[in-house]
Amino acid sequence: MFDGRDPVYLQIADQIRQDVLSGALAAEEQVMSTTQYATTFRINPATAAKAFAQLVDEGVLYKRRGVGMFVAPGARERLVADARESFFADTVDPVADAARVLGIDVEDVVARLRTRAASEPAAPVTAPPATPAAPEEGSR
Amino acid sequence: MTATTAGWGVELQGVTQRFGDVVALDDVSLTVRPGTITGLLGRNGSGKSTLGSLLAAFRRPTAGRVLVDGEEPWENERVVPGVCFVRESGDVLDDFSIKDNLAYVSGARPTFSHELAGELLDLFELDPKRKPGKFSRGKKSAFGIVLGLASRAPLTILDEVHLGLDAPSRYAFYDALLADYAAHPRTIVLSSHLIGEIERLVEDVVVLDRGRVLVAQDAETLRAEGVSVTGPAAAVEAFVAGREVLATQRLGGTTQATVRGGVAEGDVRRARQDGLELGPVPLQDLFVHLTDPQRATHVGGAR
Amino acid sequence: MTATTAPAVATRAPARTSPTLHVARRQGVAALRLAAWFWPIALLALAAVTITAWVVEGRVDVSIAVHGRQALVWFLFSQAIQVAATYPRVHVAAGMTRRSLVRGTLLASGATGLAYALVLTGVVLVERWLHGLAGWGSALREVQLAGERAPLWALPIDTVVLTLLAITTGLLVGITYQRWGAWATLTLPLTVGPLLALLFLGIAPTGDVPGLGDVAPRALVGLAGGVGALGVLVVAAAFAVIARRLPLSAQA
Repeated sequence: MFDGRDPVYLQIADQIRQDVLSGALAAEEQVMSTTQYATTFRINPATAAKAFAQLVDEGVLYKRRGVGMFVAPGARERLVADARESFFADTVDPVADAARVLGIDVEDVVARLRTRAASEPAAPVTAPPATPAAPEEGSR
Repeated sequence: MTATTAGWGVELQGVTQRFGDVVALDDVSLTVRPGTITGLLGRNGSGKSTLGSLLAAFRRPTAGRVLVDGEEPWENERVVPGVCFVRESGDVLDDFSIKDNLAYVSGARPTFSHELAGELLDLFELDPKRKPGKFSRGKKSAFGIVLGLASRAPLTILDEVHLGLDAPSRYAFYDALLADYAAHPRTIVLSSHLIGEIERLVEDVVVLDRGRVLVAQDAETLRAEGVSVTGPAAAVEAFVAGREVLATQRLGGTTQATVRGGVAEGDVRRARQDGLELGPVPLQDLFVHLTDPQRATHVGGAR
Repeated sequence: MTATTAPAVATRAPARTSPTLHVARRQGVAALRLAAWFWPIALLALAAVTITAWVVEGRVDVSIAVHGRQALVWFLFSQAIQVAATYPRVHVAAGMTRRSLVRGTLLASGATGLAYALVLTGVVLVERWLHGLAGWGSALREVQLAGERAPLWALPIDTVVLTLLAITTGLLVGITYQRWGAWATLTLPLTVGPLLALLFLGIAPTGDVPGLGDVAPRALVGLAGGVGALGVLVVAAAFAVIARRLPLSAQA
């Protein structure tokens, strides 16, 4: 609910994080340049640059001078660890709150979670084989 | 040719422009950061075009100082070749072909790119042999865009250049603008009534209202300043107490208020507990609220 | 500008021709295109009038081409009004100063006036030769500054003063309308006055003016040319002063 109010650069950063998390962007894979990002999504290049700068600070991306932006090795593992930490506070707690307001028994919620988990092939939680670390001379 | 400057900054110091009894700009002080795309917003007659006229040395202000890259532009041999002000009306030779017009402008502008001009003429399907005097409004606008972008001036002011363009042409314009801006950074001042279309293109926003600066800040911050609060009337009223309320709407027992001013993390938690929903306010709505004549004069926080 | 040999080096300061010369050249090209329309039509008209006069009178003993100077003056005058009405907006919008507008315009105007005067002189000479072949005379009437008794070389001087005054007056009238709109009409007696004076007061052969009858033709041409040239300078200066301060209207 707070998401829509986020500045555009945060939304861009979030989207790239999601892509890394889901594996759509693998480690050492090059991401779009700010210019490509700006023209593709019709946003100000500075906005895209701000998102990238944040991701570089977080260690999700790193810069190779004169070449472009790449997904940092180990970025996905770090994001998974972060997401796990905030999973209960951000995702589970609101479900519990909503269930209480609606008068839904917690046991029913748990049952639903069990059925769901059994029917869907779970996304891989384990990290893919570790990729060799690339030289990071341009990072930061 | 390659642009060597990253764009020129603009500074206005207490600038007033009168036309007889009409005050087009009223003691305006303002800074445009070099190298940004700045959105210049305002209702008709708010002073946007007058501001552009002063930057491009079309006229001298009644009072105050206009500085472009640190110098007054009026009759300034160094500054004027680097300022390009494109008006919707189009300041071109109506009875001469596009080719002649390009020769006239390119000879005067050291940064002019014939290559880009050619690409843009193709993009907007303009025949170099035709004369602007016989163009439709949309084609005139398109030719203004060609001159404005191909000039690659360190300070480019595009004033309502989208008028008469259909949606595909407008998006072609936005794409060309962003692509060339990214490759050749410079200062661009973009004024448009289609705020929804340009809000993501601009880094900074200046809102003029009746000749005064209402807002001058970066677009992200301005957008984040507008919050819509929706929920039970009593809870909304309690939440917005002490805040700058721009508009209020009621539907049954539900109230939606648009407030200006940032919302802290604690406010978000409190709102959630009270069953209130916080939502974004499109820049367009924020603009309409801010420039609503009914709001009269009690606008705080403008610098 | 040529980009053929120079490598694309970012640090190289881009070459820029003098705005004054650039504008003078663009305006010169435009004037040439108009001249390409004007002279064929003017020559056709000259031939038509000559033939008509020949049919009616049996012979033509005056220079018809010199009579045509009236048309030439008003053509140049209106062309200059158009220049003053069109260029300031476009010139400033293209990133140039009013200073270069004034200089470039006066340069192109001077060249245009000179060229028209020389072409007219050439036409008069050809006409005189043709009249000679037919056994007619070729009196120069309506020569305003130099008078009928003036030597032939006085003609181009006489004419160039007239063309330059016509053009500068057109520029002045055009720029006053740009500056003051309809109110500029009030200034017309002042702005067009010198040109009208030269055209119509000058028609009286200078030999009839008391005291001038005994002046040698050479001195007379010098005197008349000098007065005319002074008029041109004053009108051009007025144009320059107004154009240098011209604000451009909010809406075109």
